[in-house]
Amino acid sequence: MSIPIARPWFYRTAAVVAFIFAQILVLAMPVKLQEPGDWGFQYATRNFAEGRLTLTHEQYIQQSQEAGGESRWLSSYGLVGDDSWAFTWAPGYAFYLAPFERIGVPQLGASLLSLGVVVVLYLLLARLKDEETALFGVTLLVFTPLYLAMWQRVYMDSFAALAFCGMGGGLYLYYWLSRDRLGVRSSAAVLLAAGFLLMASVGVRYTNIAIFVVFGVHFLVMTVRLHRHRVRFLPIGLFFGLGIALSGIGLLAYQGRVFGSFFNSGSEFAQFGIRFAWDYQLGEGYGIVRRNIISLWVPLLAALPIILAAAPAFVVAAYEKGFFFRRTDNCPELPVHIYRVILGWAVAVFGIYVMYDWTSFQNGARFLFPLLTRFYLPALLPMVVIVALMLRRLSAKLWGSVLAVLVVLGVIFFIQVARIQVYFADGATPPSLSLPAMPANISAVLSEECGL
Amino acid sequence: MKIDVGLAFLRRYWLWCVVAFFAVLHIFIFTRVFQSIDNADVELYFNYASNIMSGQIPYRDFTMEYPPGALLVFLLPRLFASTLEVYGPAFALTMLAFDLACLFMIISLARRLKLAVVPTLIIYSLVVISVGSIGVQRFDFAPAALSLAAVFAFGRGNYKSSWALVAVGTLIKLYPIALAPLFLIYQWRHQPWRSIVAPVLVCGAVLVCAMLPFFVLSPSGFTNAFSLQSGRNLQIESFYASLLFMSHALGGSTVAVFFGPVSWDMTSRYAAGIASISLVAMFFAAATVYYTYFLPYRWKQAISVGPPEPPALGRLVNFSLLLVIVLLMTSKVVSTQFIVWLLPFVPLVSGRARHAVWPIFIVAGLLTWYIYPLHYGDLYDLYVLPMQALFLRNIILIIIAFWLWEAREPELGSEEMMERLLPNCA
Repeated sequence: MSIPIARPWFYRTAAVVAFIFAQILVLAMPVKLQEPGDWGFQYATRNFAEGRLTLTHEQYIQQSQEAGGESRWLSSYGLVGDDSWAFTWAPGYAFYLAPFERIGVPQLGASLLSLGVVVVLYLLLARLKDEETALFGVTLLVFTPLYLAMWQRVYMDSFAALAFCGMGGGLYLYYWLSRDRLGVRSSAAVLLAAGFLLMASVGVRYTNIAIFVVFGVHFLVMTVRLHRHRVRFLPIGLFFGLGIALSGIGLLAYQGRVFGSFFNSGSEFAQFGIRFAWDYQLGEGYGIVRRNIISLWVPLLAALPIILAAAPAFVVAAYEKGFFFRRTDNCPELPVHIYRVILGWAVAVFGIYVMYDWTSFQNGARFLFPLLTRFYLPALLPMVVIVALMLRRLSAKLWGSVLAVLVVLGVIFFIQVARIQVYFADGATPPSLSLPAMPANISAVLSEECGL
Repeated sequence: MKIDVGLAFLRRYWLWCVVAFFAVLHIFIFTRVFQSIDNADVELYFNYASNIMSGQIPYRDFTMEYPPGALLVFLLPRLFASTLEVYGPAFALTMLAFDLACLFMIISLARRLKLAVVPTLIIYSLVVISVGSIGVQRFDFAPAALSLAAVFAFGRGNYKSSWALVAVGTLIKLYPIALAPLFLIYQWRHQPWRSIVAPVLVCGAVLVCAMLPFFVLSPSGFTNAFSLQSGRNLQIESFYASLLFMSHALGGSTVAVFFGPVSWDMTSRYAAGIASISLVAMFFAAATVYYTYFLPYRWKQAISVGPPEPPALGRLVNFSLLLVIVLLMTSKVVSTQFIVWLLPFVPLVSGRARHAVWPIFIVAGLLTWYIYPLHYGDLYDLYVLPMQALFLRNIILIIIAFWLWEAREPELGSEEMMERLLPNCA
């Protein structure tokens, strides 16, 4: 059911107001470096901005001591050579942020990413259904607690991991929904941008490769399908590949330059091993998944309350699309192949991180939710799309009540987690998070342990 | 041939097969999944029952915080269990009996309301599982089953039984009496006023007969049980407390948690004030629900002494759930086990809100289980996430109440109402 005002400018203005309100909220909370990762990221960005891809041992020690204090050394750097330390996280976001860091406004970088996601989501939902749905979706997106929390945490790559794949994936889906309406040049440009951004999202966070694979499989299937129907698609489709190649070459060049091989990623040199359930024996792996499900479902509900609506929405859509039993499709605006992509997108993110070992060893109840749930942020966009489409079928009062509650929750939960410097109500660091403190005589220790 | 015979048997007795399956499932859940041993409350019930078995009089010889009907629930398992180790499982079996009674009534009501039986039972099983072992660690299944029994009897036109069951439920926990005005409104607008007198008298008689002896034997002890409840502080799971927790986490008013007379309570600048006005809030909230229920009946309906038609019965079930949620959300005490009061009504929700209510109530149940027993200590140690989980649980219950209120429909079975409405529409 629609609200009575049906002018496009009203919805667009309202979406802009929602974005501006969220932006003000984010800027109102001072940037705090909450985890060792934030410190490492800040220094990596500065180093990249000054053209330093690697650090000498001396520079590494100096910067670690500059960061200072317990849990604040550059833990995201790893030893890659005799006298060479490199940033071991995916470098894409640090590269993106470097110019903004150089001019002293890193927040602008995150805000531009947020704006990009909002615009793409608005276009996508407007194309899928209408502008009212688009406004609904944008409001859901920008007031999700985890979205706000990670938007505000400029020196952490989770937000960019969402933004790049959100923009790339959104543009890709937009292309398939508008293929008949777009001209050749527009199609090529949209696919080029989509490919570039999707691959860039892998350069921002390596695990986004799972999302990339979902889009890749869809692209191949659609290409084959169009070929069978004798539709000339390949010349346009090549632009998607070109976009991928452009950002892919950048990532490979960085890896070749810093890690010695195009196919060596930073994870192999990380100070703390990044492992997933598949790296363990079957029983242990199962334990990781079980612990993650038990300890993370409530932090996830607090971080992404939209899950409450998204899970049933995915099930209802699957039912209507005939995944269980064939029945009347009440959601014709969502083509089955698009539904498969957004479902695959969400499943890819949840599927990988439910197997992440580090989160399974933490006591979820004693952390603020962003610490353990930020990895799931890239799944937000598909959830917003499905929820916006399914809830809009309900009466205005029902979906209005859901939206109002989610906005209020988003604002409250965001302020609660953003205002606290440490992750614990009593100010203590629980044993589970006690990373080894950086020794005062780090130089001697490193010399001894690393043979430097 | 054998397959055909089997299919024919299933077709003929499918309902009994379904009943048997779910009964076995619930027996398994209550005896194997839920844990009733090593629980302080079960021990308390055992002690109350043992005191009575040794000849002591409740309220006079020992203090008790519950209405007298609760004693029957405590005594029943004590008749078969002389030690605490045996009493725990026996108490769980008693709660299982109330649960199975709910199961049978839900089947009957679902058929009467023309709801699909199997999904209804699946949802009932899921909501029971979602709240965890609290179902066998407290006696709240008893008043919940009696509340449903009152609605069930009302739906069959057994008005005297219905009011008597409300009275019995009230003797165990006070809240079922809140259903009485719903019954009263329906009967007042559908039946000659004389027919209301007898059921109300039955209700009053049951209450007086059960309470009077205890009051006569120990007036002060008996009234203390009720004054203890009304004098309680702001309990930490209440909606008001969750708002104060949120304010605390936002850097607003500071709160502290302490163990009060019978529960973990909250103290803050506003807690005492809120606790003192909560009764008024409950009264106004309940009055609003009664008035909303009354609205479609403001024109006198056709006089009928028969049972309510399915739309009217569905409306009564929805409003019963709405009323209990509203009472919980405006009360200063919302102990974990109070969520059990809602369980029998949730699967029977009918109308537009039916499918929307189910999944989010299950999440509310799981959040309740997360808060107690899993992270109660973290909550009173003021960790942020359990506070957010509590707030989320309470917000979900409010959303359910809003949806039930928003999806309320006029009673479609009434031809006279349609006749009255149609000229207006024209």
